[in-house]
Amino acid sequence: MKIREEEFNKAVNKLSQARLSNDRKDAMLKQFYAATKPKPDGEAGMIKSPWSFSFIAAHRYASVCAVVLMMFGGTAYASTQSLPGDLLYNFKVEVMEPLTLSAYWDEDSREQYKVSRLQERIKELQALRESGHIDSEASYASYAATQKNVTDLETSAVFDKDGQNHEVSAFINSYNSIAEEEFRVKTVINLDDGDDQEENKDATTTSVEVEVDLPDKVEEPVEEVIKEATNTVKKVEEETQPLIEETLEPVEEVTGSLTEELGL
Amino acid sequence: MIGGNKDAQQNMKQAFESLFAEYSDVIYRLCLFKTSNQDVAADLTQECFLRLWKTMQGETQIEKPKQYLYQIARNLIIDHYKKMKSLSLDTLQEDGFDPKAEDSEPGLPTEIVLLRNAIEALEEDYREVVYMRYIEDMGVQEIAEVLNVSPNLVSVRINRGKKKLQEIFQ
Repeated sequence: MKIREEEFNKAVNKLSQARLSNDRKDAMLKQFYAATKPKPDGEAGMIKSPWSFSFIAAHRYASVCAVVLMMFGGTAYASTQSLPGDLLYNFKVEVMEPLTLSAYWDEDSREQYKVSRLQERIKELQALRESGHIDSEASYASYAATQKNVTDLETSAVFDKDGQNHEVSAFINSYNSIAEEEFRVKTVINLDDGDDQEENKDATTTSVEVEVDLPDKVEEPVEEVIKEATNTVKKVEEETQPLIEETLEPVEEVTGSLTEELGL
Repeated sequence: MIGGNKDAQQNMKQAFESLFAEYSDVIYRLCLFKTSNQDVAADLTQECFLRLWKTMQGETQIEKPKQYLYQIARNLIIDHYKKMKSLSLDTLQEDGFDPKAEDSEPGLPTEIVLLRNAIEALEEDYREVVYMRYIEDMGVQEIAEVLNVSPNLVSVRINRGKKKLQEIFQ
């Protein structure tokens, strides 16, 4: 059953006005607060020490600093083993990794570290899948961390003359291949798919040059136009490849027999 | 320090309530549109905000709450359909489920079902932007932030989605 434009607009207005009732909202809020217990107010009633700025206090602060440092070290170590959805995962991604990155001075090492983080995201997602402890929150945490890595690499990675970085591209493809559809990372990097790489490795493959009619005036974003042009090229390649191979086969048979006759 | 923790709790509660007031209807409409059932939509909205509240309790900083809520809502909708799929009709009927009653009330009016069918007939890339643009009246920049894509891409998808909708109309 089709819909007319006026019906569509009417339905849009109707749906836009759909709302939860105030009673329902109030009931929901009560349930949220009932579901989570308030934290105990342990510090209530604490009285400040009159010795707070004395020499003794200085020692106390030093002890506190030492404890904090030890705790930070322990947390840092524990966070390295954490997976998306874990309590320490955000600490790992938001604190430890930027800290480690800042320890690299030269650009090459920094890039290498960023790529290794992308590889780490794939390992984490694989580990989650294998353990079966993957849920929407873990998937979102993994997605958010990976998207951050990818966005970072988009601005800093080194690309070849074709605008590609095969290493980064391969990792993004790997991640997307194991991530659920909703959590695939998006990028402006010119991704090369697996088929193209296979074709490049095969030296005997005949390349086909295709002219693509690009519009004189590009009104849409360049990335969309390039994507469409790439798809057209792939389509024409797929269509013409069998024809070329069919044509080349008899030629190879003739040249093969001639070579045999001439003893070359 | 007296009552410091209490103040933090109170601030968090206020922040959560303002997010709830701002986005509860938005998330409810998304769930209603996707499930065509008012009760299910309300339950999913509740679950969505419960997760947000728990996340805030864990003191995790949520930079883009709207994007976060949309993502959680989408996942909950997917989980809902997975659950529905895993339960056979026989099992549901044994538990007192009446498919006719489910269809009639509290479902959506026919025109909204037709609207949903029209939007769902679009390719995946266009569905969400068309929904956000027309039903939620969101701007290009806002949609781009929620979907984490460039504003240009959103504009292109809106225009193409619009053209495709014109093809669907009688």
